[in-house]
Amino acid sequence: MVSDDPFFNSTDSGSGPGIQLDGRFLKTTTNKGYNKRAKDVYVLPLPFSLNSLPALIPHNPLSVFMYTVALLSKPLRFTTQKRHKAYIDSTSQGTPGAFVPDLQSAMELWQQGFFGKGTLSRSEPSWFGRTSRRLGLDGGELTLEEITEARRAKRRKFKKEREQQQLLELKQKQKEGVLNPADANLLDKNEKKQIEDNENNAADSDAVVTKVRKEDTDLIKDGVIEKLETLHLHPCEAVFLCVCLGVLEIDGIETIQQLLQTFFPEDSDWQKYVVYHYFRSLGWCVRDGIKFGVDWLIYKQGPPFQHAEFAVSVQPSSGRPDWWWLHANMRVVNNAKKAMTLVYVTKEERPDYTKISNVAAFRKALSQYTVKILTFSRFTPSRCRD
Amino acid sequence: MFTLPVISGTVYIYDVEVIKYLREKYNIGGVLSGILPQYPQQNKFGGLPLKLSPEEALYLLETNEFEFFDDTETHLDEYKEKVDEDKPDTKNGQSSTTSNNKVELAVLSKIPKRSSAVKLKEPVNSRYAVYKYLVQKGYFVLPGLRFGCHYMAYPGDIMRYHSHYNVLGLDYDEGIDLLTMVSGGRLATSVKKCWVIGAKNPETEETEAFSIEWSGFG
Repeated sequence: MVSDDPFFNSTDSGSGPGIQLDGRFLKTTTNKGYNKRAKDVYVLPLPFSLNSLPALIPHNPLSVFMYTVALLSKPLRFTTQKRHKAYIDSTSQGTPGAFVPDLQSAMELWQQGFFGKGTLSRSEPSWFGRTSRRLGLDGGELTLEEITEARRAKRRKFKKEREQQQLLELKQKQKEGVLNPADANLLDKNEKKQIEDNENNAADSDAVVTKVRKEDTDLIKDGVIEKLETLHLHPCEAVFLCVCLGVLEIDGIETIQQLLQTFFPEDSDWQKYVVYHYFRSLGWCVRDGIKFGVDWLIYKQGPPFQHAEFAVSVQPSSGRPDWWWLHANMRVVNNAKKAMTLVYVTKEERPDYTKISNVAAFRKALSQYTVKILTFSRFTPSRCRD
Repeated sequence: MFTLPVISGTVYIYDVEVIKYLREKYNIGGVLSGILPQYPQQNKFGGLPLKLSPEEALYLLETNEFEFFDDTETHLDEYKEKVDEDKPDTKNGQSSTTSNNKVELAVLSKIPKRSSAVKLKEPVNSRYAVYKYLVQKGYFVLPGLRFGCHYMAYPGDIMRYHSHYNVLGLDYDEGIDLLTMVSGGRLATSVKKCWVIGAKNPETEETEAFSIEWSGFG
């Protein structure tokens, strides 16, 4: 594990670099472990696979024969098969987008290209696993939500211990009679806080959340936990899966025209799609950027592998953003170590949906739009000096 | 009554006493836009003159306690008079100090007459309502471009406190993008401030403001 990085082969064990080395060592091992698992699970970048040909060994006549048969019988292009099913929320105030109810389909769409979001989870549809584990059943591997919760609990515990340590130090100083007024003030404050904390803790322990809740009986039907969670697809994701990959079927929607009218009623919706399609076709993993106040976040591989590198905001080609808006977004995005990307779509009106009757027409409509990209980052001379 | 010089629509104050007075009485901080001659290599602390934002200038105008005069015109006039007076001076061979004093007096006497003709830069209406609302509540209000908003509101003198609010002044019926709300709330919370949006209700003529905090952060 260590040997493949030249940095760790050095025998230098000086105190300064040693600390740094320890930190890096810990970080790389945990990341590597997770990535290795991620690489096994997230094999396909998009939810389809090409027909693979058998290995061709030229001096083996049997191999040549098999190869020819395969080449002739299965065409080399991927066949579109509408294997995932979704429905739309058709109430008047319905949520936009499509919902995939089947857990198997949902997991496939998540694992092959990171489409959608679990309606009861942060991103990956993990509610079923979490609930199973909470009720004492086998829930599979730890989910992201649980890892975050564990990390926060650890941090809280560390902060509490540090506080107590400080308090002890101050008390020691007080005993020795070397306490200065500022420290005395701090001691007073800390002691008061400690008392308050203890009271709070007492109140907490009274209301300790039992692992199994009263409502849980409603979850179990016929001896198994009901699968409540669905995968929520963004309108752009739904259209991309339906039209471009052809792997999704949406209830009650027959034609591309109908699909576009349902999902992209406004010009701005279509523009957002053009940008989504652009980055998807360049091989980026595109996910909604609402967390950071932008339209899209683009990942090199996907959320389990690394953080998003760019935050994409779709801008109308006429007009320009307000300065205050730009400053605010720049700070938010840069705080998360991302670069801000403004994307201008050259044509603002959406195409005439009535003329889009098949995939070829859809492709033609898309080809009338071009995008221009402007990426920039915040630069403060005094802070960015290396 | 103080007189404040206006240079191409903006008020610049060169008098420390005036700056002190504005801070103490009107909660107006302004922005020091000059450099400190002793420390020319830094830009964290500014020196004279103090530049007032359009909002601050309008607010002072509305108090009726200040006169504004056009600094450029006054200077040009002064220059002209100097040239005019210099001509006979050189002929008669008089000393120039007395004529300088005359010029100064002449300029000062002319200031109030011009004050009505001075044009100030106008602030955005909707923002000014929120600005006034905050200042009258006792906040020090500074421009907030650094924090991606219209104003930053300090609970007291700007040298003593950090700002508490990032403020956005809007029209009453103006829609607000959900993404703006996300980034505003998120940014303010990450710098330990509170995000505030305000607008003037056209019916009641009263300004209303709401604060938004990003919960579950960090």
